[in-house]
Amino acid sequence: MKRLATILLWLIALVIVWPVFKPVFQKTESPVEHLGQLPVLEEGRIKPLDSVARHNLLQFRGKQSIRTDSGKVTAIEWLTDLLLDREAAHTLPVFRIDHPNIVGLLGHEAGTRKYFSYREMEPHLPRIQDQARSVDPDTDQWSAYERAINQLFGNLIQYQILTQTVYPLGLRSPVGSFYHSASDSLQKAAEVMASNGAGASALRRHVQQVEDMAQSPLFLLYEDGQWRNPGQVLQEAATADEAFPSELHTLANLSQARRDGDRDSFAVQVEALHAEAPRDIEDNPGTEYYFNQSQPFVVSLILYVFIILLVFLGWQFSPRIFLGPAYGILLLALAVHTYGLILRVIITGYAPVTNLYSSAVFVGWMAVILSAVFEYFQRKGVGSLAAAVVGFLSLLVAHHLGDSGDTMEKMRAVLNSNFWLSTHVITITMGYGATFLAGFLGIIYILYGWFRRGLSKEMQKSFHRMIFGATCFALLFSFVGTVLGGIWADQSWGRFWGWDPKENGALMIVLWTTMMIHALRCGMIQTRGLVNLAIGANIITAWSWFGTNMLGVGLHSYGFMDSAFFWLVLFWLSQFAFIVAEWLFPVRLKPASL
Amino acid sequence: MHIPPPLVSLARTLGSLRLTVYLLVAAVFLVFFGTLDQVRIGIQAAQAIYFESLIAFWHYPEDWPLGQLLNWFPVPVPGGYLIGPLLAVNLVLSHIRHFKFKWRLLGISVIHFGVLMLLVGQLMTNLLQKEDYMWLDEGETANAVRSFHKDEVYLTRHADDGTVGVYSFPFSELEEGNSLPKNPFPFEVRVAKVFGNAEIQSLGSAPGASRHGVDRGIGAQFNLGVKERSSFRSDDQRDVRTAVLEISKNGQRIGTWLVSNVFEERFPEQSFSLEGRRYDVGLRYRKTFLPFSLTLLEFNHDRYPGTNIPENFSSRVRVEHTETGETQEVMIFMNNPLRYEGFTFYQASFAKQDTASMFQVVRNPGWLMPYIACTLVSVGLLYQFGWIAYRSIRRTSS
Repeated sequence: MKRLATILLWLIALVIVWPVFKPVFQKTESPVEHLGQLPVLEEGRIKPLDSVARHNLLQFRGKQSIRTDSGKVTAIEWLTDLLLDREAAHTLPVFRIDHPNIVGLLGHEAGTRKYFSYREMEPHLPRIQDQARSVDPDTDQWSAYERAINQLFGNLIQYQILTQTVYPLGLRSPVGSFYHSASDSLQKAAEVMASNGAGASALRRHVQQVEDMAQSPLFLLYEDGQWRNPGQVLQEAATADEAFPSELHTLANLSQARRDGDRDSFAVQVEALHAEAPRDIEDNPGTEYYFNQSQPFVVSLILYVFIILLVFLGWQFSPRIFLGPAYGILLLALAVHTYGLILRVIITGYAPVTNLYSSAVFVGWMAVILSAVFEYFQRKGVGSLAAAVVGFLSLLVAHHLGDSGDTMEKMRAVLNSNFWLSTHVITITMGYGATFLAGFLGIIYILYGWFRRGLSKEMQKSFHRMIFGATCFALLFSFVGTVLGGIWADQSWGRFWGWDPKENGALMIVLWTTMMIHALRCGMIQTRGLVNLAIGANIITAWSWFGTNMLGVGLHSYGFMDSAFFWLVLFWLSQFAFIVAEWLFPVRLKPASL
Repeated sequence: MHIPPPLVSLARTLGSLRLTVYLLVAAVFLVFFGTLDQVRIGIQAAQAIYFESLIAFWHYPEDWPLGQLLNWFPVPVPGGYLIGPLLAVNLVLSHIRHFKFKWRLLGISVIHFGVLMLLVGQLMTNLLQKEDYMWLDEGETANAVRSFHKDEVYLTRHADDGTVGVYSFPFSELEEGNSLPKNPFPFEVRVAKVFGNAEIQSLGSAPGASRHGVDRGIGAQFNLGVKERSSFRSDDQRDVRTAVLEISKNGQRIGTWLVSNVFEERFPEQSFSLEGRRYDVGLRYRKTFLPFSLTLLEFNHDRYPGTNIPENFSSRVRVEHTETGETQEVMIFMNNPLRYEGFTFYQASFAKQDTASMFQVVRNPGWLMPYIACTLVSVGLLYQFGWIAYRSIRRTSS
């Protein structure tokens, strides 16, 4: 019975993990997917076109794919159309609009629709622009509506710029003939426009169209060691008096094939584009493409949920059957989590934590490792559960933080230092992970005590040891991390300590955990006090991690988030609620069994 | 030696671990409220009010929910200069009381010695650190730095051979009605009026502003009126520090000048002649002369390709020592400052289409203290928690 259950549970786990390996085994791919692997330059980073598609769609729509009545459209299918066959993309619902007044502005009843296509937005563009422009210049004063309309306006602009990468708006002729006539026009432009002679207005239009194309932030082509967008290639070809560039031919044919629905020709042109792509680059667009496909963090998130379920089943029915596999599958989840982190390091070339998103991924990872060690020594399921809960929650937070677009962006000057990223940032984040682990062990202690109608002395001791251990780790890493931050600040601004909100937040964690250890040491608190103070540490750590960024003061105020503030307050209240509830209904000790 | 019992019990209380716990909790609240108030008054002001004081009062912000109702109530918060020293005393006394040499407790002593050193180091930094800046255009040479926050009144005497004599006095120590002390020049300077922050406009257009008896220099020439205004309390905008100075010789008034720290960039020097010599009078951001000069050879602002995201800022400079004549060329870039003669130069800002560079210049004789202190604490923590982990694992496995 036990063996059968174990095999079954592991089978389920392997099914969950399968998507991570699927892209390795499944080599057959459509031409569009192959196009998704094309390395391009965007935001200063060489990445596969697939990433560009995903990040833009995330930004516009909050999702990495589009659901329509006729099925699911992937990000790269959408971007392919946006670039090469615009009319097809214009009808897809890619803009998410939540604010009821904006939905109303588009002539729909609030609450009935959430996603809109560009085609639907087009008639309303002037009004959206008016509304977006007529706001206070001070962005801090914006209301929710003003923020929403400006975000939408920004998205529409970006959509328009992006869609003009390959060919300009309002083009009726085929792309290939446009390239040729525009190129001719550019060559003649200087002389004809000066003389104001015949055909000057057509020339002006061509010049303007190519200039619009050259605005694109998406550098699709690689020529003579330089990344260029098609507009720039056209401009340069005209001034240099060279033969018409072959990659423009390819691009024009690609667009034509897409419009004609000619799959074979499309595949051939994609192959030709790949042939023109640079060979020896430092970045890893190939790895990134695989990372996009396999989504290791989503997989580990699902595994953590599975583990939570297993531990509950184990406590309720049979520890013997469920707790063993729960621990094993925890290690599997940890391995997938780790794998994702390693891939990110390979892709970005930076240390694992570079922004809030990756800090959330790392916080979870750290807590899972620490908790897995606890579980190794005391196989009671508590360590597995705490690991899975913190792992799940942190990946969930990361998932939502990643909604704003690219999470592998290039680091701004002062942060562009792998030494400090991999010392200060990592240790601080490890400190967050350890404090959260202590806090969630505290919550599990309370819930366990309530639902099992009391704790055995032995169980209480084991909770006590784990929470204390996590707190010690938290103090060590928070202190070392804070100090390393001070040293970094001393190296780059000339002051060890500047009372910057983020520094203060880290200091609060150090002070609080120090306090916990001293209070234990002098007997002011026992296990119960430790549990509640550990939950209190959750509040402080959340403040330090997110709250300080929301103040908009100081050097670390990267990424103010409105909706996140709501969740932060909710988290604080929930932690308070646990402390108050434990005070009202204390966890009881079970008398020792005879 | 006999120690009176009340003292013993006081020492016991001051050295108790319970006090440590209370102080640490108080410190958490101090840091929290101090951080919150940075939104309202800026980092600089919050530092002075919360972290460099004995006690501070926090008010619930008016623009929060129920702000109108709760704002009037001052929440007392113990200040940094109260908690810091108490923690230090607590730490020393409790060590005297509990110290026993045991290998397994060695880490605790090391940690606490390091923490003490951190506290002392932070105090030293607060008292001794000076933060200035230097702006340089490409090709320009300078041998003086300016203060970010402090201003000074200065007098300059131009001698016939081209040399200058300079006298300066800190703005913060000016007192209305008093004369500038230790002034080496043959005239008296009386401080008629001091404005911590002022609004300066032409007299006709500014209601409430007054001339304050100014009859020479820029104030007289442009018919300027001055009125006091409250401090900006901002990290970005500097207060317009202003003063009215009356200069006289042997009781004979020579004239009254308006001086302000905003004049230096806009107007030429305000001068007067006395006994055939020219003197300048003014108020400026505090200027400190260096024993060496710095020339900006080249400033570079690297961006990631195809974007405006900065990848690096760097300045190539030549340093020339005034006395020894020794020169060297150095690169200053992000996370890589130049340390020279007790001054440290950091790449801080840039302007003029990437042809001008600003350095933050710091003097802090105690800069090494936190490095040593932190190493001690980190090693101590590792040692101590190593013990705990070792014991705990041994217990579980047995």
